[in-house]
Formats: sequence, structure tokens, C-alpha cells
Amino acid sequence: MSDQVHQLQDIGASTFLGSPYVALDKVERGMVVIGGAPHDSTHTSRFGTRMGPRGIRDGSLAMAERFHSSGPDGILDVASGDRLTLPDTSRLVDVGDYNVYPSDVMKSTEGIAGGVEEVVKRGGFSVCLGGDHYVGYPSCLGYTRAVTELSPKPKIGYIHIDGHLDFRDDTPVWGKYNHGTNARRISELDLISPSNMVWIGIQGWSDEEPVSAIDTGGGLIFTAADVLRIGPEEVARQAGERASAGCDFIYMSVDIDFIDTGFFPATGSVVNDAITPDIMATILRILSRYPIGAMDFVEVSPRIDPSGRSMIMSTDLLLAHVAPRIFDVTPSP
Amino acid sequence: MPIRRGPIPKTGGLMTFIGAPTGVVDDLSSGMFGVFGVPFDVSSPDQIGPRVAPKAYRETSTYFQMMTAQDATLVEINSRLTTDTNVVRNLVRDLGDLPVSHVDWEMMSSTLRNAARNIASRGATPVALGGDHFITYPLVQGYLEALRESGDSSIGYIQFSSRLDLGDRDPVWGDVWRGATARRLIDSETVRPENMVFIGANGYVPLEQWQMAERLPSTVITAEQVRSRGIPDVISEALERASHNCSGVFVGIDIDVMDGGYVAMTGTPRFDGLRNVDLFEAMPLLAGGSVGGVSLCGLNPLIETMSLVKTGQRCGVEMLIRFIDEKIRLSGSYK
Repeated sequence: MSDQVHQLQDIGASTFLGSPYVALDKVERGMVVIGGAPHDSTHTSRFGTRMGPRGIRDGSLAMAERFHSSGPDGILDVASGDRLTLPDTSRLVDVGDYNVYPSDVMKSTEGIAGGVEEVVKRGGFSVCLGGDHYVGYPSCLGYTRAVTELSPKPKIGYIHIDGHLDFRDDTPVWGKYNHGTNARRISELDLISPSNMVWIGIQGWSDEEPVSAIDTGGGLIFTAADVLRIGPEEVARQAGERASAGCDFIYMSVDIDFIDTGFFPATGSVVNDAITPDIMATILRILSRYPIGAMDFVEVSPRIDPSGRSMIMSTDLLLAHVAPRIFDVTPSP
Repeated sequence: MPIRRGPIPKTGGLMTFIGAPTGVVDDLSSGMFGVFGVPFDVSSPDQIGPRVAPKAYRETSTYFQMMTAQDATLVEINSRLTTDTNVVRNLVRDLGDLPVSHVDWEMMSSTLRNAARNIASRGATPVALGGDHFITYPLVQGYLEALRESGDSSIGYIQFSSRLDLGDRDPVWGDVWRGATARRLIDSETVRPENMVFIGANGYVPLEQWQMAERLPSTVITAEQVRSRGIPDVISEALERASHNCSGVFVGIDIDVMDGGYVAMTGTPRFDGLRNVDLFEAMPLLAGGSVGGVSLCGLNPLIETMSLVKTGQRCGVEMLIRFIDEKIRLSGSYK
């Protein structure tokens, strides 16, 4: 991104934060790699998240202009006092969208998993932009395939930030592969340790069986009310410790309907849980201290929010987690 | 019933409240809930739109799993309390929308009174999907008429609203308008002032109404007081005062009691209001009292870019589900 000349934010190719658009085989170790999964045929109510990757990229351009015009001193993180500067060679790249096939879920699964696998094998930190939350499963699948080459017998923890458990085993209409079963499918992957699975932000009602299954497997659930009561810092710390205990890596899945829809309107599944964007940003920021090797960021449905604020906010939320990876950070004196 | 038999998407099938069976008043009996829409908003002084709220509530309610759950049993994830959806299905009926007249208030108020009376006299709980807040006035009258048939003579009233709704005759709207709901209940001696509780007032309210509230032996608990005291304490006091020497309590909820950040689709958005989770906490507590009727009003789905963002209707549906669920639980129907 630092290679680019200054330009108005609405001009040019729409990559995340105006980052360089590269082919998969140009991914290098240490890069944060944005890949889109414009897939929503497994969403069970309001479609539209297939526009998520494009919407998030467009929404990021306002922030991109701020970084590109910041000068050599970079920009200041007002909350922490840290100074962020762009490295000479960008550590953030965008590989575009992975292959998806609306009429063939398994083919889309392999398309997304294959892309993420390639990114991680090359040493990149994969950020998969959904799409509905089903894409969390193929993204994690690709991650687990890749890390077997990095560690002989890896054990992987899992953090699921969401208003919903997504732990149904099956649904009468949508079957076993949809945006309500993705965490269940992930729990069945060989490398995933069920007792290292953590949910943050669950609200409302669930079928009884998924809750029992999580309890039986030793998983940990923080409800949205828990987050408000305990505080986001402590919840993130406990989640990070639990997910990483005895594990080599963590995969993180982020559904933006963790946030109250009053504050983040662009989503198909409306949630009223009084969780603000700042709470989510705090959690994502603290979790950047843990060995998370790949993540997804899903359920952004741009057309439901004509104001566009949800897509702009998505950039802040993603940066809360990946900023230390893509910027040179000078700590507050 | 032909609906909800086989596996269909949440968005399919007839659009009834939480997918409940349709029905008529004669289907109701003690312990049941009669849900009905009141697509009436002529008494709103500003933007028209609450007339389409009943439809919006029903549409949004289909996303809840109350009737479409794979398991018969649901778990409320925070409390871990269980809900038997088969029991809910047996106890809730969607009665459709009342025949509304936008030009004849006498006929309209009569229709509302009769609906509340006929449902409550069967021992069922009337649950009204408004409509603007003025519909609550005749609904409370009908609820009182039903209880009088049983020999009881007094009821209490708890109002959730950003305002007091103690306005008098309006120069334009006359006696029939949204801001006069509570005043008419007092004038008509439907509810004694000492049994009226106002929860959630915030921002600016007309001085004359505030002074009236102070003169009356009613109870006013502002939004700020709710924040400092907490919902359990506030609801405990509200139920105690509203039900004192009364055999039943009616709860009128104007959805503008919630902060505009949570529910933007109202003609009177406020930004010092309650949180949605405050109302979620309040509803089961109200179900534990002698509350026998509920009206949910003030939602305007036509605001907020054609209701793309469904926070208001979803919030309202969840509030009613939490009320109905707890009332069923306390009745012992969930074995």
C-alpha cells in the first residue's frame, strides 16, 4: 500500500485499505492476506452477504486515504498513544476473491479452503472476508490443512465471536452445511480441540442439543450479557487463555452480528444485545496477543445499510486485530 | 394446521406471530395468549407508519425459532432456562388484525375495548401489536370491563414511554391523540392515579404534564433512575404500586422508551433512553406479577430507510416472547 501514489479515496482498484493486489503465489511470510468469499447461498434468512467483501473493501478506502496522506510520522492510535507507520514494503496484501459456486456448496467449500490453505502454507496470516458465516468452516478447513505442514501434530483452539452458536448439527431445510452449522463442522475437524473452543457474545434462544454438545465437549460460552457484566478485556483474556491452553495455534471466526444491530445495521440476522462496536474492537485488540494464525470476518450485508457506516466500521474492527502485523508500531512514550 | 408441518425455510409459510396457529377469540381459554394487530396510527401527530407495524412484527417474528426449532426444546442462552415450543404452540393464537377505522374513533375505540374484554374474560392474555400509543386507552378500558365481569373493580397500569402521555385536549387532534393516553385513563376513571406507574421518561416533557404527575399520587421513574436503580428494583416497585388493591395490571409499552440508537424507527426517537436489554430483563419480571394484558406501540417501520434495519420490530418481538415464555413457565405448563 505504501507503493501507491496519493489519490482520492474513491479512485482506483478497490482493495482492502488500498493494499497491493497480488496473486496467491506472491504471498510471502509475515503478510496479512485479505481474501474474499462472496458466498451467501447458505444463509437461512436475508441474503446479501455475497456483497460483503466488496463492501468492506470499498468501506476501507476512507481509512486508506488517511494512512496514505499521513506522512512519515504516521498516525496516532489515540486510545493507546501508539504511533503507527507504514513499512516501506507493504505487509498487507489483497488476493481478491476465492472461487465460489452458488449452486454447489461443496465446490465453494473447496474453493475457499484451497485459497486459505495456499495463503497459510506460504506463511501468510489469512483474513477471509465473508460471505455468510458458513465460509468460516472452509476457511478453517484450509487453515488446518496448511498447519499440518508447519507442525507435526498440531492442536488448534477456536474462538467464535458471534451472537449465535452456529453449532447445530443439521437443519431440516438447509442440511449440514450452512451458516448455522459452521462451528459444529469445525469441531469435527481432526486438529480442533473441542475443549479449546470458546464462544463470545451469544444471545437469545438456541436449540437444546447444540448447547449440550458444547458443554459435553468442554467448550466455553460467554454470553453477550457475560461480556457486559465481566467486561470485554477480561472476557478476551479468558477466551485467549482457554483457546490457547495446550494448543499450537488458534483459529478465530468473527461474525459482526455480535454487535447490536442498532450500531451495525448491515447484517441479515438482527441482534439486540447492547454490544457496541467499541466492545468488539477491544476484544479483537486483546486477542491479537494470542497465537491466532487465521481468521474470518463474516455476515456483512452492505445493501441493508445504505448509510455505509457498517462497512467503514468494518475497517476499524479488522485493524483492531491486525494493526500490529501490518504497521511499524512505536509504543507510547 | 397446514403451516409449519414439514421442513420449510424460516421465511416461508403463513406470516403469523412467531408462526403461531391462527385463531379466533372463541379458541382461547385460561392461560392462553391472544395476539392481535391494531394497524391504526391516525392519532400520531407526526409521521404516519405504525399502521404497518403489526405486519413488521409478524414478519420479523418468523426469524425466531419458537415454532421452527429442530428440537422441541429451546434454551435461553444466558439463563439456560428451557422453553417447550410445543407448549407455546398450544397456548398462543394469532387472531389477525382488528377491523380498523381511520375516520371513526367511536367505532375504533369500541372495537379495541371489545377485543381486550373478550380475550381477557376468557382468562387469556390480550397482546396487542400496535399501532400508535393511543390504542392503549380503550384496550385498558376493555381489560377492566372483563375483570368487572368477574366481580373485580380495579386495575393498575404500568406505562413504558419516553414521555408521560398526560397531555390534555390538543388544539388540532382534540381528545384523541397519542400524547393523551394516560390522561384519558385517569379522566375516565379507568385506573386510579395511585395505581399508575410511568417508567422511562427522559429528555424534555411538557411542564404542565410533569407538574400534573407530581400532584398525582402516581409513580414516575425516569430513565436516569432506571439506570441508577436497575431493572429488578424498578419493576418490583412498579408491580407493587400498580397492583395495590387491584386484581390485574395492564402494561402499555411505547417503543420510544428505548434509546434511538437501539430502535431508530419511531416518530419520537430519544437519545437518553433505556437499552433493549433493559426491556428484555423487565418482561419476565412483569410476567411474574399480576400483568394480564400488554400493548406494544409506537413502532414506525416506514422510518429508517424502508425498515431494512429491523432492530425495532425484532426488539418488540423478543420482549413479547420473553413475557409470554415466563408466564407459561410460571403457570407450570412446561412440566
